[in-house]
Amino acid sequence: MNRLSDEALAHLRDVTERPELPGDRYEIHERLGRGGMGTVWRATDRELARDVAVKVMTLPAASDRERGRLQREAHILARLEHPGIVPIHDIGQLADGRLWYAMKLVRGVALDRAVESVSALPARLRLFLRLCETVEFAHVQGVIHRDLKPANVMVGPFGEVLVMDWGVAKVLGEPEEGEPAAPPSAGAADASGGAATDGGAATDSTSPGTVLGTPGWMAPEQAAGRAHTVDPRADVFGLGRILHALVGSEPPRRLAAIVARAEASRPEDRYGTASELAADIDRFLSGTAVSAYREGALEKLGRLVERHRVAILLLLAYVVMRSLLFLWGDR
Amino acid sequence: MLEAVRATDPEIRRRALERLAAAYWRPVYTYLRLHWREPEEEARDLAQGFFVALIERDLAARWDPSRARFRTWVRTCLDSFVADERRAAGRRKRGGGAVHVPLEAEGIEDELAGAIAPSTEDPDTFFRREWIRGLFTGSVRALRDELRAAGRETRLRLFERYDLADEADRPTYARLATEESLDIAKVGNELYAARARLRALVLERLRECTSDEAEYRAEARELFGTDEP
Repeated sequence: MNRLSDEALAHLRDVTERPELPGDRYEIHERLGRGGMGTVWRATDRELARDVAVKVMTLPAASDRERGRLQREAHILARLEHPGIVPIHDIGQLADGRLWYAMKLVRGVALDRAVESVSALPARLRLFLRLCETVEFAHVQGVIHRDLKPANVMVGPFGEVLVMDWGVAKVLGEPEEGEPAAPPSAGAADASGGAATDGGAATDSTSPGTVLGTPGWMAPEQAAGRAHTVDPRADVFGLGRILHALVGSEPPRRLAAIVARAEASRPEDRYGTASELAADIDRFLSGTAVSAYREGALEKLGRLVERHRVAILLLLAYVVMRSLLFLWGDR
Repeated sequence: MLEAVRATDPEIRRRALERLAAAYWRPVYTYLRLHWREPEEEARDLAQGFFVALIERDLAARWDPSRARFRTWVRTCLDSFVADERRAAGRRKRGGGAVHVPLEAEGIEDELAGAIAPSTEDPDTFFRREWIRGLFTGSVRALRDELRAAGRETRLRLFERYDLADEADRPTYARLATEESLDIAKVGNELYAARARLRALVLERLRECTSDEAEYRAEARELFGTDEP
């Protein structure tokens, strides 16, 4: 037997991983991405004549518990019907036991790449506001994402913002493995399902002490292995980190204060909800006082001047004109 | 198998190491030939000596699963072993002692003809790729044996012509169908069946070479879930 060439080896690795979905509804095309637990493929749904994304686990579930996690991730996606969350279409199991689900194919780029072409700060902040809306929606549904980072936020060609990869999401009020049942936290309207795991940085366990999320982006309480006790403020932290990345190293003071509050180490020092954070961003954009920053009299004056610059300029122009006319008339 | 490598019973440990040597022989030998650029005889001698040392000196008992994967540990040990041997003034001829490790050497030099190790490549990446190649090579051999034993010559031929070929030489399904007097769907089905069995064989071998479920799953994710070489 000849030595397997690098090319043949790569081909064998590809074809032995490539899924063969049951029936002839889906035709699998190229690989779109890979995560810690599975691979996402582009596929054609022949029945509905549309392209979809199919996520397939790398291995069959090791246990019913693990199988349950993927199913719960699918259920979480299914229940979160929102324009900012990718809808799921179908779920199943391959002949070799690997689980898969089909979802909407998102054509876009990750947030960090998308903002490369968006230099204006207000435009970046408006994208961020859409992200906050989606996260707040999930929180109201009782779901915490727990892995918010630019790579998990996609921006579509029309500026639509989608939150991806709910693999380590937690459903409030639903006990995870090793966690005693707990009442829903504030802001959790509903609770069913549980947590599933996926994503490059996520582990496949949610027992107490296990770190879920991505270093550098996850809240300190999550990094400390208390993932099962987190509340929506863990996502506020993630939003704060994303905001930090969006506004650059020298943002205006009031914006810097918003960032600092969102990514505060202690949950109680952060905004309580994503909508509170969004409200402060909104205030910043409209030039009104933000809750995260106590401004001095001069700063307040400066902000008011900035906010009403056009009116003040018009008034000044009017006063100058009147003065000139007055002086002219005196001659 | 790796559990047994660290067993307290010397006989269990010895048998496990012999199986381990069989599983790692190919990547170890290739690594010696291409990375260390050892001549054929020397590489064979060193590989034999390395596995004998693993068994006789109980080197494997020093492996700590919490610090490194077994594959990485083997590569590190091998590097140390070769460096030590090179430092030593004359290498002893090995293979005639109390332990003999059955090494599947037949044909490997033909396989290595013309193969070169990229000079700039990280040794761990190189060893890892050779380990993967060994995993697939052994599995392809096993698949071939199975298909022949089951009289599935057509399936084997299709698999060899399509999946073992480089892209430039790979025929289309239509051409295969014409040449084998099959319809295209049948070609697809035969290839699917061969690949599914190959995947199962690779995973079986992978399970043998990993210490526990967590390492097995982590390795499988790297094997199938990344583009890493």
